[in-house]
Amino acid sequence: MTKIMVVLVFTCLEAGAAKTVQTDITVTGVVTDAQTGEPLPGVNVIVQGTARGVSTDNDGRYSLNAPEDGTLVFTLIGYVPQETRVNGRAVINIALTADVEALDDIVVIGYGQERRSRIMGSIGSVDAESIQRSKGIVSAEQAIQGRVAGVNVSSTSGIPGQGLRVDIRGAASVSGSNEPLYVVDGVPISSGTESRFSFGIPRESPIAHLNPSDIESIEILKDASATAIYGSRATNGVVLITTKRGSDGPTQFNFSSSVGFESVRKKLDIASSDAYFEVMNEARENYNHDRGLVSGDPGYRPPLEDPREPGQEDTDWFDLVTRSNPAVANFNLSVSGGNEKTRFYTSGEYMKHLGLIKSNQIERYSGRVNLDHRASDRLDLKLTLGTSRTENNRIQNEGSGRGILVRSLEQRPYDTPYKEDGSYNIGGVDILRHNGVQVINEQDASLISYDAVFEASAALKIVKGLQFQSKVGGEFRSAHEYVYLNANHPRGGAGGVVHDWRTTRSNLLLENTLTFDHAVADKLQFSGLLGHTFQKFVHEPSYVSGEDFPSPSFGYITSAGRIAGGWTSWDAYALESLVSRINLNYDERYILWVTLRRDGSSKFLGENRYGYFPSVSGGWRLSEESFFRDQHIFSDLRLRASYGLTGNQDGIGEFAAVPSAGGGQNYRGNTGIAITNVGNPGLTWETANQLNLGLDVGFFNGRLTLNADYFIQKTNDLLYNRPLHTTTGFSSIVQNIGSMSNRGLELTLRSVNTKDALYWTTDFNISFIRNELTSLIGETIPVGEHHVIREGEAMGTFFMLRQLGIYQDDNEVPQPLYEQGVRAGDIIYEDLNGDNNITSADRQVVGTANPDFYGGITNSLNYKNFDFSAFFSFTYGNKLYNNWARRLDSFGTYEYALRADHIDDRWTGPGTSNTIPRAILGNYNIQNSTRFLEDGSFLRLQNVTLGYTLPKQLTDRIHTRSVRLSVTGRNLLTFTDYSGMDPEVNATLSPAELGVDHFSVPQMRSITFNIDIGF
Amino acid sequence: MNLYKFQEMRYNNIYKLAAALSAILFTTGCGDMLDISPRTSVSPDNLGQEEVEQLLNGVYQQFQNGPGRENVFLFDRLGGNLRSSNLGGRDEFIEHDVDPGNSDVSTIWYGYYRGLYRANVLIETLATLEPTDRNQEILGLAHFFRAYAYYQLVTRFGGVPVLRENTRDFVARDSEEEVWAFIREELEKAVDLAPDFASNPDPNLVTAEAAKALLARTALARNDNDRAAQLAEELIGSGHFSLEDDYASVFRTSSNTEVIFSFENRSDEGITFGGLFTTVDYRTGGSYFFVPLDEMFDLYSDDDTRKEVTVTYESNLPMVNKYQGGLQGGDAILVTRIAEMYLISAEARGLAGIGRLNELRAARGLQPLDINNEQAYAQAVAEERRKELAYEGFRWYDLIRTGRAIEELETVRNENQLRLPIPVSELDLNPMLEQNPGY
Repeated sequence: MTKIMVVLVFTCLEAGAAKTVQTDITVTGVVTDAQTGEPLPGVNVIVQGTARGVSTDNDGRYSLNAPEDGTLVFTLIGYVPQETRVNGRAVINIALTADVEALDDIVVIGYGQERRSRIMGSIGSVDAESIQRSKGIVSAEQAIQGRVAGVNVSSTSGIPGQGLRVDIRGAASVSGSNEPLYVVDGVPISSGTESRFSFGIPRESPIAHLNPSDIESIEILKDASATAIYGSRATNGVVLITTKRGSDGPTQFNFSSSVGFESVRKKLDIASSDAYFEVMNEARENYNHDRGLVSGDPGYRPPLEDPREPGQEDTDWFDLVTRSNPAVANFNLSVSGGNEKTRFYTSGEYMKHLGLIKSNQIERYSGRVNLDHRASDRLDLKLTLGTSRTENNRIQNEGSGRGILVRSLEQRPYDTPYKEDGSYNIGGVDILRHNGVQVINEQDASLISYDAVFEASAALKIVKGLQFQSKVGGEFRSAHEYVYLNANHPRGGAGGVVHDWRTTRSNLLLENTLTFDHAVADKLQFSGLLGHTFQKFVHEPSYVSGEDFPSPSFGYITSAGRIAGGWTSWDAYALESLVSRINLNYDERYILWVTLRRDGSSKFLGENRYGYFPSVSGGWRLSEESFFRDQHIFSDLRLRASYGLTGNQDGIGEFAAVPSAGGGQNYRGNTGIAITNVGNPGLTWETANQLNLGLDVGFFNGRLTLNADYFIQKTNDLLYNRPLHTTTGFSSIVQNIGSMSNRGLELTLRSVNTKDALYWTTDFNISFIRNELTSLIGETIPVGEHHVIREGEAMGTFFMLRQLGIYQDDNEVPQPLYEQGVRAGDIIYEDLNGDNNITSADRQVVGTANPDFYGGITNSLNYKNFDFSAFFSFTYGNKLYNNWARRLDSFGTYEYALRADHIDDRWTGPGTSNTIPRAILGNYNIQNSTRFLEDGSFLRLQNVTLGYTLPKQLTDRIHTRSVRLSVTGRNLLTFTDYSGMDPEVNATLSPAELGVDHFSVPQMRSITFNIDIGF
Repeated sequence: MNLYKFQEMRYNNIYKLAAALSAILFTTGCGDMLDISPRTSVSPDNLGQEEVEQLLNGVYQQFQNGPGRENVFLFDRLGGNLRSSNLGGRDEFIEHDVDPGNSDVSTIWYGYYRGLYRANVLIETLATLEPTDRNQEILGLAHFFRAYAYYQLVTRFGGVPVLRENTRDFVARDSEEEVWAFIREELEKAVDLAPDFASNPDPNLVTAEAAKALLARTALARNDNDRAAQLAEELIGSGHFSLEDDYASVFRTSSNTEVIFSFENRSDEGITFGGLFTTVDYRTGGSYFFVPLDEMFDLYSDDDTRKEVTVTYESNLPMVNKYQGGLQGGDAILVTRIAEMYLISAEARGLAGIGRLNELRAARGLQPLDINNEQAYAQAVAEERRKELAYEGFRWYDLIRTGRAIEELETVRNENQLRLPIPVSELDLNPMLEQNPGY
């Protein structure tokens, strides 16, 4: 069964073998259907090992030049590919056999692999081809974005190296980041990242060290039948990443390089100084007028003085702190090959990405060696080793409260970075905010991490159909974060401050599995897996800081005037598990899978320590039934169903269950302790059960395929670090707080629109997912400033005042508000409790950050040597809270700069506006309310690529196997109503607090030029 | 390993082998490998005599650090001794327009309740141990801290839940009267049990004298003037404390004769708050969030030795000068000092106390006052208090307890503004809590 695949893989690689130049002859012929004898149009006829090829015409005819001893490959979707040697023949007629399994490929699954047609769960795949083609990506998560139904990949900001939020089938947990489990070459990797200094960047990507060019496939396990075998870490889905391996054949070199240039989609329009003074002083006039204050009265607010020199121009702070030419470049070389006994794949990569903000950049070197050795007919050895060094020069993004971008834009328009004598203008003294230019120039921040993910295994075939595999794997990471704020930095103090963190992280996996595959009866295949795994994660960080350096050129603590602080720490957790799977397959028609995992986790105590995670899935391939054979509409028809249990322990501290008295509570140099963790020995597994119903239909020989999945997932015993009323002495407790459901429909449609000379396919996916908290202890859990967790609502629900309009007349203002200074021109908030006052009791649910639906559409066209693809992603119905607008649209309350496009629409008299309030001092109009809640829907041209493969004659001449040139545009078009720089931002990965824009660095638009050379 | 041996085996044997192999796999669990205990903390079940002193240090630390640096000077912000620099932005406290969601407010609330929790744990732990002399002393200290927590809470929020033992339950607010009664009760226990200064002459540790000083302050706040004066006089007459000739030494040295109790606030253990006041160019660095009002410079006469120590100009910028730790920290957090006792005595006794007032003035390089009118005298005492205790967290509550806040402060327009809002996060999480009026 795997033979087909092996052949397919090998043929691809043998393609590289034909190197010697031969005499070409013209070959013609007709391709027909072996069964019907009808001519087949649109068959691709390719000279093996070249990019040369044609398609058959409507009569099934083709004609092309081929080497005398070359090989022709005939392929057509829905048919078994055929190869034939030319052997000097001028006419070659071919009959192709229809094969409904032609689309069948091998899919990597938990602890194994399986043919797509036998998988009855829900697994999305992204293959090397599509990763390779969509240039301009620098991370593995980007490769998934928009490609798989039910998987919502969204960026949190445009900061290089920034982790993406990968949401598989909705938030299944209220705790942690809801990130899926990443398994790289069979090794579940740690989700921890090493960044410590608060730069306001939610998280670095846990797979940032991976070179996307090394990836052979990414599988996204979505339903419980696919994920349950990963047990307690599976609720948020599992992403399996498999790297490339060598195959026997001549040694192949592949070089690729991309250089991209980036820019922002739009700049924020900041009001001029003149407009600024107009609004600021109008606010002061209004304030004085409302209170009847005249100049000289106590409390009178005099107009702001205009300190500008005559002719002084406004400062463009955005330009001062951003690069004019952010860019990304990478160079990648891989060598692979081997013989029957030993195969290898090795690669090296260099990537550098210059971010938007000056000094922000990331640089990666990575190397890989993947070896396979067949020691004997029975014993296969395997080694996988990926290593990398990543240096990330981070910068203050918003979220830390110190974002360079927002603090720069908030400067008054006339503020300048330098004094006349060339020294810095100081934030709070000379200018309003910390001087972003100064911050950038006077700090040095780097996070260098060395990462190695490895796996070594031996597989012993005991008898036919019974194999034992023993594996050692893991991940070692060493990281050093260094942040130097020197004496000239606003936060550098008198002599500068160095923060220095060093972290080691180890993750060790021991795994033994037994797999079997046995034909029980004529058509009944029985196969499965039994295994034991143990994995332990240890994390040891240390920190030291020093102050008072002789000068900014000294940056190591050895020269510090004093050691300001330091600590070391340790934490660890371990999982011990048994895994098993049984597959029954009757004649490829009826398929039944059962899996069971037993996990023991060190995070839980006593009886709660062990959890069992079973799943069952089954399917019926109607198209294999005899009664279905004689029709031509359906080429494939399958019904699938699955049900299973998964768990989650992410986001829960290693020792959350253990009440503990912690040290470090010292006074006067004497050791102090206190009960620092309230503990909850009753903590138990968060478990989710998921039902998945699926339908796969192929029409017209596979020209059109539809996959539909409907799922219902229920998570019980939700783990949450729940806020506590602090009269308890604690601000939070980790608790099992309730249950939640996600239900959704995912549709994937693939169509081969034309397959003549122009080969055009369309891939479309769309997902509708509803999240709801179905039960909760306590009524309402407020989350942060903008959200709430409440029964009957979704995670990421916004909770704030609702703006109804603007008071047009003082008479409309209720008395209690009038007394507080509210007047015509101020906002009418909905008075929920009817007390004629606006208080926190009037906050209400006003929408969610979850989209109604999202998805992607890709059109790919191949014509002769050209290829083109355009990929749009979209999300609809999600709300986005524009938090920074509270400051930039304050119209007087704060002295920050103002957004130009909003001030003109402000209320200036009855009837002038019913949405944007007047200029006034005070908090009233800038409370968290729907005034700042915007529609976050967007449609974005995520990736568009045009490629050209050089003709064989040309590549031969330059002694290469293949050359492809391409140009890729990312984010070229974005359609959105959102008023900020980018709708695709998130201050956090936590699903409970989604959809808040604190003014993160926006997603960049880029044009990338790429070259791929094979030789 | 000879692989060919396997080939010779019968299938039966091989399945047996496989079964055995999997049996080994599945039975050799590494269960105890899952017993991973924290290495940076201990179980509270094991708290005993050995931990008592350490728990006490944990109490000190929480009261020192927990309520936050903003809390230390909150009453100078609210009381009109400070304005906001541009950098700090619009300040809700200075404007008396405090949002119930303000994070400083919730930090203060949590800071004191967390401290209270620790004091209660200490009391609960002591209850299981032999009442040795030292244990009794420590019990006295725990009572002091409970009183201190509630003094700070009641002067900020009004009546708050009084918790004599730790609880996870929802709790309702007690009345202001009940809170004051609890404070007095606790302080009396502390005066009784805590070690006295003579045996424990360290102003960074709580003593019976510290408890007495707080009791004097409490009595003054409750208009129990006789008691206030009596307690203040006892401390003045105790011989342990005296007014310093060098006013600066009170704030900048640990060896001065004035301080009755202050948190040491070492830079490696405590909180840095100089950053709020010192300018960016200052020798220890700063963030310069808060600036003394111009009137503060006019308040002091030029021969007042407090002037330069309290407010100064640093590179032409007005700056609070009492705390010079800047971003490096190390400034002590003063709780009470003998000068306050002079002022309490002077205020509580009315004109009869003018002697104490003039003694204090003399120590600060000023001429004695000669006043015969109670009202003018009260005003003079109030002004002296403002000058003496500026930036030590007194001004706001002084205005409140003497009923002058609305008249003195422009942005205070009604009684409701005299209390901070209960943090909205607490209201959300504890349905029995009620908000103060006006929020």
